[in-house]
Amino acid sequence: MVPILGEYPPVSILLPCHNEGENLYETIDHLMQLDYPEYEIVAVNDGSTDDTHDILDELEAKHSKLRVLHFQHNQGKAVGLRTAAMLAKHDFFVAIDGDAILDRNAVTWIMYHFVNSPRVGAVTGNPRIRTRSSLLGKIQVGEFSAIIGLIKRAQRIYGRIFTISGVVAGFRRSAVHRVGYWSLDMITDDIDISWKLQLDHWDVRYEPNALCWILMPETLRGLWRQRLRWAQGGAEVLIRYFKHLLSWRKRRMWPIYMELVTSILWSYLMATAAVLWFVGLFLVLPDYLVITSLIPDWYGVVLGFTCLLQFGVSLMIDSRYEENMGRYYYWIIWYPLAFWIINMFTTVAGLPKAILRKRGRRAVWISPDRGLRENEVVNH
Amino acid sequence: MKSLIIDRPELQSPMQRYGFGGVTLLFWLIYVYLWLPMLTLVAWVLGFTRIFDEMVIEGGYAALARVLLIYLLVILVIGSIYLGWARINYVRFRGVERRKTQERVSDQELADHFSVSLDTLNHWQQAKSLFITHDEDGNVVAAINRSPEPAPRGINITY
Repeated sequence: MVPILGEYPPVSILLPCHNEGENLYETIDHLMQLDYPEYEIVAVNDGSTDDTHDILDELEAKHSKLRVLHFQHNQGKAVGLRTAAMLAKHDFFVAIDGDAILDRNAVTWIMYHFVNSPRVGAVTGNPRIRTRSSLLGKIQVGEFSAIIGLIKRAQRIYGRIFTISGVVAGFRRSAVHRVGYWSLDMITDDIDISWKLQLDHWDVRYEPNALCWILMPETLRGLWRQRLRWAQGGAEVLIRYFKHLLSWRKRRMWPIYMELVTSILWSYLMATAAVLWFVGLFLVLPDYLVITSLIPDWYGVVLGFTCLLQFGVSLMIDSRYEENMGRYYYWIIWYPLAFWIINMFTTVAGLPKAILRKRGRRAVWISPDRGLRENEVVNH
Repeated sequence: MKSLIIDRPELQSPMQRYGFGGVTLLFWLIYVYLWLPMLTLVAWVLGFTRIFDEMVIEGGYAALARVLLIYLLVILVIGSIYLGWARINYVRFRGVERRKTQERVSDQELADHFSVSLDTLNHWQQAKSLFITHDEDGNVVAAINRSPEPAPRGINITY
């Protein structure tokens, strides 16, 4: 049931786009059908080299709600959001990606939190994967249930969440203004703004009913690049906000910080074990360094069981938002047996990248893989 | 309306379509295989034969029991911290709104933050289509109103 709000403050939808020509008609068509009394769409054409410019001009002439900001040069998503926020007419923003499709009731669900609690600075929605043709697509459907649906619910019990999903999130203007808007030099603007807001004592909520349909990578290469970016983004906030966390007033962020440190540490331990096992094949190592086998012991069985149970629970919860989620359970076995290794390696690779990255260097757009679509042929 | 979910397995090669389904089945079998000692144990228990001997000689049951004990302890410790923390917060903050309402950001504050005049900001905020130039730090240095109707005061370019 969509909630009835006491008031419906007008909302600016921020839509940063870089080379989104292929998706824009669909994205904006859905934005025009939102069930919300008053809103505008601020689309940013961030120096696109495809037909984004022409499509936006064509749509802008047609729709009175649509405003368009053409950037002379590519500036990156953070500048896109920052500029759109500056030029937006209204005091509440809902930012979605240029290739995402917002459910018609999502804005009402997001605004429900802003209207009812003045300390809410941001609300993240529920990204639903559209690209499900391939194995990687299907595994990610199950994975998202767990890494978003289950983890964000759990983190809300600490009172803080690790990150909003940049693909669909609402913001209160006074909150982002107070923290100085989106950082230009962090590789994942969404993780960064979540930390800035929460360190400034703003509440960040997760609203599973605010659905947003998104495209995800369906090639290993695309997935690797995306996950490496996520891992690097996590490591960047770990480094940048460490000193802020030393204050007692920031104690509510400690569990999130510890969670992140633990997962990085765990990845390094796993990688070290694998290296030691490999080295042990050729060299004689001291007893305490000997890894006899990489085949999981009972520990592996129990962890695998926990993982499968966790996915079962999350898919069950998720079936409230989408029917037939159960059929993705078949593909979940990849997670404990193989898929987690991708996340382990990206975590291991992401930390040095974050450490070595020069502070102040501007983050730029990369063109992501957006899954299998029509008119595409898959080789190999 | 066309379906939002893109499930087009035919866009993959047959090798990918059937190969991955098959490997997934294999993975399930591997997982079940890892449980085999447990199933064997259950069979022994049901058969009441030599179970004590096997437990002592093989030690497999003891290893599992040890892991399960640790598992149980971890669940208990994490679970109680988690539920306890939720409870404490519920009791402390239930029905209490401790945060004062924030003032909205005034247009003047917004203009000051972005180092533009209030007039310019208002003008840009009303524009339907803008062509924007940024400096190296991502600040807006110029915006040209591209809307068909001219801006009210005829200033199209602002530095």
